[in-house]
Formats: sequence, C-alpha cells, structure tokens
Amino acid sequence: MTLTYTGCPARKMLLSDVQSAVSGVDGVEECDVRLVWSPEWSIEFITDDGANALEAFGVSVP
Amino acid sequence: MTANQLPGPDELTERERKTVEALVFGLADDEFVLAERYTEWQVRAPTLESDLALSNIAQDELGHARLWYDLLEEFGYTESELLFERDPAEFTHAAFVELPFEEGDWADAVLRGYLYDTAEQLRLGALEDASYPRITDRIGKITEEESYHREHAQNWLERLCDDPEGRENVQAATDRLFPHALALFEPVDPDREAAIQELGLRSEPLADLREQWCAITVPFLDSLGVRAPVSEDGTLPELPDDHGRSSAHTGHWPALHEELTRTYRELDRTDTPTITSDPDHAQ
Repeated sequence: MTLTYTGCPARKMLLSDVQSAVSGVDGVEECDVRLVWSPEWSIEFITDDGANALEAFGVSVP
Repeated sequence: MTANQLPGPDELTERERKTVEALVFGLADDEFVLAERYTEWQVRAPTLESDLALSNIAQDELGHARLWYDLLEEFGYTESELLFERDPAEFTHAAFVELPFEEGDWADAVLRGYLYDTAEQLRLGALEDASYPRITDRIGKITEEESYHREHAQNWLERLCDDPEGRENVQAATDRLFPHALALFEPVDPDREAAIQELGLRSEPLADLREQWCAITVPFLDSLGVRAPVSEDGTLPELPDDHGRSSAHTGHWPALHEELTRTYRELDRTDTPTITSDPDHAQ
C-alpha cells in the first residue's frame, strides 16, 4: 500500500487497520503489509467505491 | 537506472552500508532539524495563510525525514537510537538548519526556505538514478511535495523586496545565511563522499551541485535587488567554522536538541512503542 502524503499523521493507524482487515478475511493465515512510495499516489487511484465512500463522508472527489 | 545496482539492505557489504548511511543520515538530519525550527513559526507567521503554509512545509519535511530514517531502520537502528538517544554531536545536519530565528524575522524564514529548497531540489535530482533502489523509490514522492515550497518562498521574497525595509531585511538575512547555506554541499566525511560517487549513489559531486545552486540563487536574489556575498569573479564566502556536517555545530544546537527530546525524556521513555511491525521493509 501507499499513503497519499509522506507526512501522514495517521500512518501507523492506517497500516494497522489494513493489517487487521486483511488478517480478518476468511482463509487468510498470514498478512504482510508493505508500504511503498513508488508509484506515487495520485487522485486517479481512487476507485468508484472509494469516491462514493469519501462523498458519503463529506469529501468530494473531483 | 544505472548498470551497477546495489542489493537490498541485508545484502550490502559493510562498506556499502556505511556509505549509504553517510548519505542518508545527512539527508534525514537536515530535514528533521529544519522542520523543528520551522514549527516555531506556527501561529506566529505574518498572515494566516503563511502560518498554515509554514506549518505544512514543516510537516512535509518531517515526512521526508521519516522516509529517510526508515531506510536507516532497515539497517537495524531503532527510532530511539536515530532520534532521541543519539548523541547530539553525532547529528550530521548543516548548522544552517539549526540557526535560531530572531523574533519576528520573517525574511530569515522565507530566505532560509528558499535557499534550502533550491538546494534540496538539486540534491534530490542527483539521486534520481542512485544505485540503491530504496533511495530512488522515494525521490519522486518527495520531489512532488517540494515544488510548492519554492513557490511559496519565492513569492514571499518578491513581496518583501517590493518594499525598501523588507528588502533590507532580506539583505541582512542573505548576508547572515548564505555562507551557512554552503554547508549543505559539504560532505559528512571526505572518504565516504568519494565512495558515494564511486558506488553510483549520487550522479554529481557536491561541488557541481553547489555551483548549480549558486547559478540559480545568486541571479534570483540579484533580480530582487539583493546581493549575495559572492565576489565579482565568483569567489564564494568562507564557510563558517561551526557549520555542522563533519565539523562542530553551533552553540544553538544543544538547546534545540534538548527541546526536541524533552517530551521523550519527560515521559521517561526508553524506547518508542511498536504497534505493528514496520511494513516498510525491503522488497
């Protein structure tokens, strides 16, 4: 996974949430989350589901 | 990508690892200490916008410091060893980033940002083809976050220099900071610096980067009516004695270090807690 921003203050929380979410999936025995910085995140990476979820939260995606 | 790529962090030879360390410590320490100084402007900058801009820039630099320190953690250092328990004398940043701001000296803050971010742009550019993929991996992301720093600083310098008093303040800051800024192009250690070149970590020698930096900063300042302390024949001012890197730090560093480790000590921490194992490990 990557983060939108290098200075993201929620880094640990997001990584830990992803780790828990994936580990909780049936059939997953081990989960190894890798943080990468390349390719750099861009707004095109937001899926339709993601855009809808953000909009429901009050953030509009251009 | 160069032909002779170095392997991942676990497969480096001792010499290769020490060389990568010398390079990365310099990058990380500069960013970390400058960010600490910038935060002093929070709620004190001249306008709300500049307040937010400088706070954001500080956070960017902390993020970038973290990306560099992450690489050092791959060599086995812990966050505490890298930051909170490290002997202040072992920090390798240029003293330029540790100098205090005189109260209300906004010209110093924007000029420092301009000189630093112009240097950083060149320094990162020369690492784009570094032979250690863990370095090149993060250059794009960091560079992308840097462009508005320069835009912000240049815009402010232009505004300040529109006014005679403002220009005097920028001139005074230039006289004071320019010789110190040259230390950004000083090696941490001459032998390690030779190895940085030899192993293909940086594509250009520091002296060439310094020359390019002067070719950008001196004419820009000149266009604002501010004279950099460089003679007609291009002779640069002498480096201050205590310029950081391999030499001593200024007397301002112990107090700043004390401040940035205070909370850690007050909470009686001996180690920073690890919530999950660090996922930013080598590929």
